[in-house]
Amino acid sequence: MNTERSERQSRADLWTSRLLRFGVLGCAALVAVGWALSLARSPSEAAAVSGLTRGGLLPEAGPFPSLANLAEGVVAGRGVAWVVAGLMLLIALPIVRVGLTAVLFAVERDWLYVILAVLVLALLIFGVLMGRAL
Amino acid sequence: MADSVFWFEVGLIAMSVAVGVLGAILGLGGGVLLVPSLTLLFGINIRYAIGASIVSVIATSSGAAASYVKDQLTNLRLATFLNVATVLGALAGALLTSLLDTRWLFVIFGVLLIQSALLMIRQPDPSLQAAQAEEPWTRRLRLAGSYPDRVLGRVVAYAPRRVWLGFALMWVAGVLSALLGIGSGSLNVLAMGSAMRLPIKVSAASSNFMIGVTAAASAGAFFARGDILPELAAPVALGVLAGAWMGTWLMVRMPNQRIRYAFVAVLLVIGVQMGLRGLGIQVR
Repeated sequence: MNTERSERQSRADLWTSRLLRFGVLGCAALVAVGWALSLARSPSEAAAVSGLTRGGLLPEAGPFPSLANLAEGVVAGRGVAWVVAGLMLLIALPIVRVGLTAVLFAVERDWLYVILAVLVLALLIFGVLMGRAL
Repeated sequence: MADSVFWFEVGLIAMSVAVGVLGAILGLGGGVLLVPSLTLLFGINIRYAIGASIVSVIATSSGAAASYVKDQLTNLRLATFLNVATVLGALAGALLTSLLDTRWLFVIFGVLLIQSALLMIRQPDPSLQAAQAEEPWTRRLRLAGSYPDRVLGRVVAYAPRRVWLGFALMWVAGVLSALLGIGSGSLNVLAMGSAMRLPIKVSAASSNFMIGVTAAASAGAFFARGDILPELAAPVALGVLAGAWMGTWLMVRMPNQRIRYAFVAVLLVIGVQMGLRGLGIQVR
């Protein structure tokens, strides 16, 4: 076993691991703080939540119809906005992860796998865009 | 009124933590455990259950993957190669969502899970078998690897076999992931263990790594449809994350055979539940 290569591999593993760990912790912190803030609910909001246990569906599609609304909400310190932002970042994390593996393969000069990783990345981005169209 | 909402949230978190621990140990990603729990135990509409589930699937996958990569259990090449299949499947599944009746999916999935549980009982753990010659495609794609097994106390070398069968199975896993909002971890581990003859720890760790990527492919659609409720997804995802963190710590220290038995038991229980649900029988 080539020790230089396995050392590079270990470092690559470590960086991937760090990205995942800090990314998840960051998103979790954002979601946790936002959720705590949103716990101070108005009576109507509380009623809606307890309605969930009876299999009900909420009337509106979502609290933030556009990204601009979301950004406003985050700045205004609305708990729900922070939660939604945190969730969106969480969903983006695997996409970043794949991008990182592409970079790691490039460093290894493993071109076959750079292509495969980029292919997965392209498919993922296509999926997110397609989701908006559905 | 505020009281019952409080206990609702507490219950959600407690259940989510348990799901997280179990999911991380078995490489399941939690979705398969979460959707039944949310719908059967908490009475939540299945659309929101699936939405919350897909988010926590991504959270579990990312959280656990961090540890597995460090412990050298994850084969990045294998995961990347198979992710091509799962993401293609997820995209196909997202397109199929409107066409298929969910009930049939429950039945199919239930049957599949029971089938896989039975299959797993009969086979010895591949990591305990003698090394065999590498197959051509395994060599071409450089998918062989090794990992330090803490319990066995040595480095275990492995080489996946029948990689294209594994690829096909992973495509199916991707379709199911998008349709049911799950990680399809059980199918992942089954495909890698039975079809590709990989040691279970490598299968579970690699599955965890891949699940999040697969879920992200369909999460966009769920988000756009408004199926991801912040007030539901937040406590569930946080609970699952905490549980997954504890689970990965436990997993690398557990004996191989015990993991397999636990996996079989969980598959059987979920399989029966899902099947009954699909047939319209509610178990309360």
